[in-house]
Amino acid sequence: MAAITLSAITKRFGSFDALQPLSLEVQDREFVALLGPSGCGKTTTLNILAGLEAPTSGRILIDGRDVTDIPPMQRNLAMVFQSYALYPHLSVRRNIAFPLEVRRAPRAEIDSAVARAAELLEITPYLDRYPRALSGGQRQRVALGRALVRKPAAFLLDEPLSNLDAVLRLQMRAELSGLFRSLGATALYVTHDQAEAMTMADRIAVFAAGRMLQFAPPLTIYRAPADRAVAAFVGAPPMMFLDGIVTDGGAIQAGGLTFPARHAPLAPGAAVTLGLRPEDVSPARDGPTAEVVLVEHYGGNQVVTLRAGPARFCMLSPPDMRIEQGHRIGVSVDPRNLYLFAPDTGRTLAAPGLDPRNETR
Amino acid sequence: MIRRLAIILALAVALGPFVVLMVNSVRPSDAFLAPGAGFIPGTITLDHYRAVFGGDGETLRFLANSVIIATATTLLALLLGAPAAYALARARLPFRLSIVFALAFLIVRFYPKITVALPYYLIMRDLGWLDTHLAVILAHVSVTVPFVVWLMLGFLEELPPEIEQSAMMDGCNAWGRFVRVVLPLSMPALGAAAVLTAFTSWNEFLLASTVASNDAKTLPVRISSFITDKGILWGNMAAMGTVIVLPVALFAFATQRYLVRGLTVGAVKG
Repeated sequence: MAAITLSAITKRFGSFDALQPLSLEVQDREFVALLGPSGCGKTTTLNILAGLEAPTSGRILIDGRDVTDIPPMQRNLAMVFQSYALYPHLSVRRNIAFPLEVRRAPRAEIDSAVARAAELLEITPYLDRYPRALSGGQRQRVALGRALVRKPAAFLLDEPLSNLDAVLRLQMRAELSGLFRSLGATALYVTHDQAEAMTMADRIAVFAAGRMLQFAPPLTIYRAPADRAVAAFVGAPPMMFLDGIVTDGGAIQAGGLTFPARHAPLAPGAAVTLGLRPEDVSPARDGPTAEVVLVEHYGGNQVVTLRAGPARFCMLSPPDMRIEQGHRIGVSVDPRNLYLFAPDTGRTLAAPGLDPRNETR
Repeated sequence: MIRRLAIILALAVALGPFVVLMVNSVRPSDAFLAPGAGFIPGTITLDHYRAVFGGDGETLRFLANSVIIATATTLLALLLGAPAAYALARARLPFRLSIVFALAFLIVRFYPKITVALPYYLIMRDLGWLDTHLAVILAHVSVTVPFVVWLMLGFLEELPPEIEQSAMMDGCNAWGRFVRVVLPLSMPALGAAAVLTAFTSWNEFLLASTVASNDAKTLPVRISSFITDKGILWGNMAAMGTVIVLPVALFAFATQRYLVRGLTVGAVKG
């Protein structure tokens, strides 16, 4: 396994800047998720690291060795593709053996490595089948097996779970997580699913429009987002944003509601964007009220969409609470859980994870 | 009804000459020019086949020539055409050179071959290769390689790029990817290219007749020698024609899946 350094990587397609200068250090044995919406540059980053695309400028180092001009086959990286990219003309056994066969490894070594990988992934019964006779989940495992069978410097995974159905995706997510942890492998994992990134990664690199917005552990991303875009992308249901104004007393007034604030003092009258995570809003007997616009019951909890003046936001409430559409209910927000952003730049002014008084974070 | 009529009409036009050929191959010689002879001969005879195959056994020699030349042409055309197509499909050449090369192949496909027949004859004469298998094979390869290249190009462009990228990550260089992944996946297209190349070589007359007058003579060239100074031997011609067409027809029937696939390659996803 190896540490990986991307240093000031850029990528241009014609006149389109696919990647702004990007520097990223992945430590040995670290699992890093590259998270962002489609077209944000995360897959381009992975392809550049793999050597499938050349960066326009910048250097790539694997364990200190500059591999920028080295072709993919000599970088010793293993990749799992979104489409699995299995070899349709080869059996599962030969698919997994392929990287070793290419390297002309001794037959006995290949056989034992394939058997080990197959056992690890529980695909031993399918070894003599062809990819076309496998389900999506089984193909996924074969693609993983092909990556695991040799000892690569790092694993590159490009949305490996996105073609699986929801139940299988959850199951594989947990399995993959455990697998890579037990292997002690360096892995870069591209995904647009924030839940995958949050649950699997040691650190998440959040991308948008060709730029890396933040690179930090999941909880830091969640509780101390670098800016509004990161905050909006991480969390489900997503954070809601309200236009607010700082009152003379230092509180934040937004959409007819006043939120007591606990943050570095802002100038009275200044405009701020207030971010509310649904789980930070809770029903209250007294305090400001809001109108219930929509109730979505998920069984385990319910997401309530509220309106107060021009502002709309969401609340996560316990499943047994009766909330009726059209009624007004009282809401409260713990001042420690307020997110404040600069309305013009989107930069974070205050967040729970940035407040040293939130010692539990 | 109209649709059926159209099909019958099209079939009649397509197969009519073949039927006439078969009928003529068993028509007695004296019935060809007899007044009042109908389409269906009064008596049938195998004399023409006997004449064609009997005697000096020359026809068998020409048949062997045709088989050798068609086989060698097919192998060579695939051997050259498939890697060329792969290179054209994948190599990132500057100035859109890939397109220039591909179009060059296309031009070779469409200019009239008579324009090169004489120069080719002169080249072969100077090399001392006249009337050898090699001379005919080279001519046929030059005719068929562009076709193989274009058919394979259409197919290769449909191959999902991730499969080759995956092979790259697994450690294959370009040749390894071609041999281990691309070729096996290209079998349907290669099969179609092989069949169509073999047919082209088997049927080719112009270039073969230009450079192979005796020893390397192929069956289609042999047909023309039934036009003699004493008259045209219609029956022998028809018998020989049938001998040429039959294997093609049978082979086409046996490989029709490949053929249809090959002719529509690029039109549908595999």
